[in-house]
Amino acid sequence: MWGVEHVAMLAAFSLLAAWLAYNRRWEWLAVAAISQAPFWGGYIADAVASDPSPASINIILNICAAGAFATFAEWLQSQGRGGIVPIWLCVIFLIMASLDVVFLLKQFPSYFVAQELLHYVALITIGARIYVRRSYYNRDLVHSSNTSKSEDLA
Amino acid sequence: MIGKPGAVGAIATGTTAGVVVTTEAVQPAVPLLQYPLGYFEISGTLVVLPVQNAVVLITAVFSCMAVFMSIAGVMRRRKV
Repeated sequence: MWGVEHVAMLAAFSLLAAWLAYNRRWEWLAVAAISQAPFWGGYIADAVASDPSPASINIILNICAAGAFATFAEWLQSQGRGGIVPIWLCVIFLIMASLDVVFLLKQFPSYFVAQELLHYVALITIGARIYVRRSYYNRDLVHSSNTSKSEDLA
Repeated sequence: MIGKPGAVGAIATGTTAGVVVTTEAVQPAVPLLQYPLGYFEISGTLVVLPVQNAVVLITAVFSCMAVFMSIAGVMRRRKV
């Protein structure tokens, strides 16, 4: 069922997508879209199959997203452009899959809140990565001995 | 490079198996999917594990192993 949480998630994703498109970060726009797949997959499962707790579909989609991020990390690494942030995203989505597994076995009330929270964390992680990189290239960062390390980590 | 197609293949297989067993149209056709594989108690509640959920969980475990192997590959190359 459509609710406030869907509007909020759609607004957050739209804002991030617009910002990524403005900065021409198309690959990260694709990453943000993939990160939304489990959330909207669960909604579609609810709308189409009337399954209000689609933990099975969410497990599948979360692991798919984690696999896509791992592959993206490998690609970024082969290009010499970092790759640790997609690994963090991968970890976030594996945590979500773990929550799905627990929910599949025994339902608990904070499941939906935890899922939404972790989706927001994923969006913030993507946005923060692009912000750090953009600031670095614009030389907005305060130069310190850790700058090169931050660049490598991002 | 051996691990990369392995990870993608494992996730694709897991996704296919998971989607197939959770599709509503498949469940009446294959009654075995609803067969209770085990009963166990979690914090006072009796939980039934049907074959359908067991298939999803097993494929999830193998897909996670593929993802972990990819992560390990990325982290190993970072240390070189």
